Amino acid sequence: MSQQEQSPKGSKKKLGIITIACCNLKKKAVRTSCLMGLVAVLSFTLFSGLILTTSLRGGMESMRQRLGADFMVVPDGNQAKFEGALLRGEPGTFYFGRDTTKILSDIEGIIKTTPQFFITSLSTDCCSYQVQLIGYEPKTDFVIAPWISGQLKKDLEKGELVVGSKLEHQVGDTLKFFGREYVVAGRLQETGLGFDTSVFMNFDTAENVLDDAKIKGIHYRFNKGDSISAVMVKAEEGYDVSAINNAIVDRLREAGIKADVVASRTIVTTASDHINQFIFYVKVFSVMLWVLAVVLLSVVFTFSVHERKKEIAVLRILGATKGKLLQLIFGEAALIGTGGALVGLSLAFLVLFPFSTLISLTLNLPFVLPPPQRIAFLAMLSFLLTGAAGPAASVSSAYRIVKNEIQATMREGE
Amino acid sequence: MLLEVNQLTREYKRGREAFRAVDEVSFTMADGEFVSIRGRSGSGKSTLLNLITGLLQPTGGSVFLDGENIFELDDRNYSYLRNSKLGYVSQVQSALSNLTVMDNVRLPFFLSKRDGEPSERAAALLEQVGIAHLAKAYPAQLSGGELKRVAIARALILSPELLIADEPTCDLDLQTTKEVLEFLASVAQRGTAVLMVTHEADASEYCNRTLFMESGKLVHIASGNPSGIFCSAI
Amino acid sequence: MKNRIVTGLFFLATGLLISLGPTYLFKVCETMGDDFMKCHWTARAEIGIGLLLAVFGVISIAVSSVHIRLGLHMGAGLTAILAASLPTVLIGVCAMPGMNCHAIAAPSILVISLLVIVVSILNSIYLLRQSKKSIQDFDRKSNEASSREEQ
Repeated sequence: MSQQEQSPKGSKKKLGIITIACCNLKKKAVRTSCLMGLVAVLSFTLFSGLILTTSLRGGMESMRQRLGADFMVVPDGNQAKFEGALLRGEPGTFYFGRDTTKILSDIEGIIKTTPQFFITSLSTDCCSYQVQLIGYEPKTDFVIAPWISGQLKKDLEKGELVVGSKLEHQVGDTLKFFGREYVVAGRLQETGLGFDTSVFMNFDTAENVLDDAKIKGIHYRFNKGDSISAVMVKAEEGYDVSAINNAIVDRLREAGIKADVVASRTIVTTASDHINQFIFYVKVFSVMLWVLAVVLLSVVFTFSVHERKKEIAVLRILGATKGKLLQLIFGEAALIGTGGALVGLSLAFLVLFPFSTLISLTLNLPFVLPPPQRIAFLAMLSFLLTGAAGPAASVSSAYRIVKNEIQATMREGE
Repeated sequence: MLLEVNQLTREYKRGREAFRAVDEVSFTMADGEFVSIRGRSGSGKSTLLNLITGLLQPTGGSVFLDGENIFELDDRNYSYLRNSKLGYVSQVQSALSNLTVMDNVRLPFFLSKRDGEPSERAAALLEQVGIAHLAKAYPAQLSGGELKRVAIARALILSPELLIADEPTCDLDLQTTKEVLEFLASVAQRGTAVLMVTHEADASEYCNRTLFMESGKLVHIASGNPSGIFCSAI
Repeated sequence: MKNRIVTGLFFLATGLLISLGPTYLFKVCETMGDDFMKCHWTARAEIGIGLLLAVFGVISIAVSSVHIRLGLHMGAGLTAILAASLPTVLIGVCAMPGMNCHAIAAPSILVISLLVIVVSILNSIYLLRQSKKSIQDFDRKSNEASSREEQ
């Protein structure tokens, strides 16, 4: 038999430093998987944290932009319900007189007012869940129309609907409320607000829906033709929140209308406070975890280098330069870092994106996922940061190896 | 001359006292010579070898290998020299535990830039030292004698000019000891100089010369041709 | 052997999860009266598909032939694609994002199916290599045998 045949299969592979590093990691499978697991947890948390904070920031920004009205006036005692409908699309119904709109539009400093009308659909209709139906006046509206994706050719007509971005119905589809079908004429862009799960129609269509509801035996407490649920108010540029707030309250009191006034700025500020708090915790947690991971990895690497002093001395004796030894140490650390980071990122992708709806529902804050290129950037960033944790943790052990005299290392390794 | 050791000295501090583990040792070796160093434990044999391989820095003196002073080389050149001109068989088990026997033997080939493939030569060497059947095994599966053979095969993979062996026969049975010594003698016959530290009295039979060390000094040359030796201590 | 048991158990477990999950674990929306929603039918269909996957797992534990297992694992991957396409393309779930089936059941099925697909691809590659190796071994042995006969 020739030598060629005798040499074992696979031994022809080049035995570079990275191959040696791979062999070392493979033979110490348990240690390697534990360390990779640690890095995976780190990259998972970091990436999830980045996506969550970016989504929440995006949600808040979107809310700031898309909350077209500066003030919202709703019937007395219904502020919480209204905010639920506005921010989370929680169905709610409450009504007061239509003349409120007129009274408010007369106040100095207010330039636009438009009424909205809220109805809750029956859960057995259309999509088997309760939907907030919002009637609006296309003629005076300045809240809904700017966010209808594409342009409606004409104003919304009777029997036509605009649906929020999270409803799956496309233009031309029909939706059924209280036994009657309506046509989708437009879709809203994503807002991160309750609008995303709401359905919009003009007042005529809304009255139609109410009539059908009555036939089905459902009575809403309102006066036909006279009731609305909220008035959206736009104030002049550079308005004084408290001045206009007071003016609204005074004027409505004079008119004998009991109402709550909700200032957009207050809602935005409250939400942004919550979000900033959340982001702060995420940041602190991520930094702590990174430090913890680097410390833990450092300890493990230091121990393992101690344990492997002989191996390192042998390599040195066989003619490995100090550079090659560093390659080995950093190579192993980098393999652990990148491997772990990839695992963590894949898991994060598997959890974050399919379950994004569940996450946003649980957080109960405006939530808009960033665009794909931003996600890619954040993934890259967390990959680099966590991948670097391995090499960063092995700096001190590498330094010690390079500094030591070889003989000393050989002896210590014995 | 292949190897020139001049006034080589290594001082250690023990408490406040300084003592010389190797004390102004000088000798030379020619190509294909088989030289053994004997002496009692602690006489400085291993330290001498470690100085010659450049694993330790000397306090004084010089070592010329193939005309180059190894202590004046930078890390890269010195590593290359160790890799290509020196073979080293250490006293302790020195096979890398995560690589197969075959890969352990092939390893030195890849530590400097080279063309070609060492597998055939590695297989031939394993055959020569009698462990070809263990090529795929890992060091943990091998006996002490087998590991020693792996170390010898590895030291010879790049056909070094000088093979340094630190007690290559320690812990081995009589038969294996004989085999190892015979093999080292055959290596020397093929042109590679062999410098070996040993406790085996019988080893002298295989060597051209035997140097005796005591308290860091070369004190006696047992046999061989004295013309090649400059031993300051005698 | 280890690979056989681990992957077999993996397909068995994920199969059962896909089969029973939508009905018991990560439930789809509750049925109201006689009105069945899309997600109800998705859940029903997943029962069958999940069980099929689980059976693939059981058979691949029992069978030692690399080639049969290769076929089974490829089949498992394709079955997982089917399982994933039920809530997304073929049947769908309720339209409202806040609903259970939309927020929990569908993504769960999707993630599990994705894992099955990845594992079946990786393992098919592994088994393909194994089968090539076993063919090579067979060829070598038969060559040796024939050369011995010639002698």
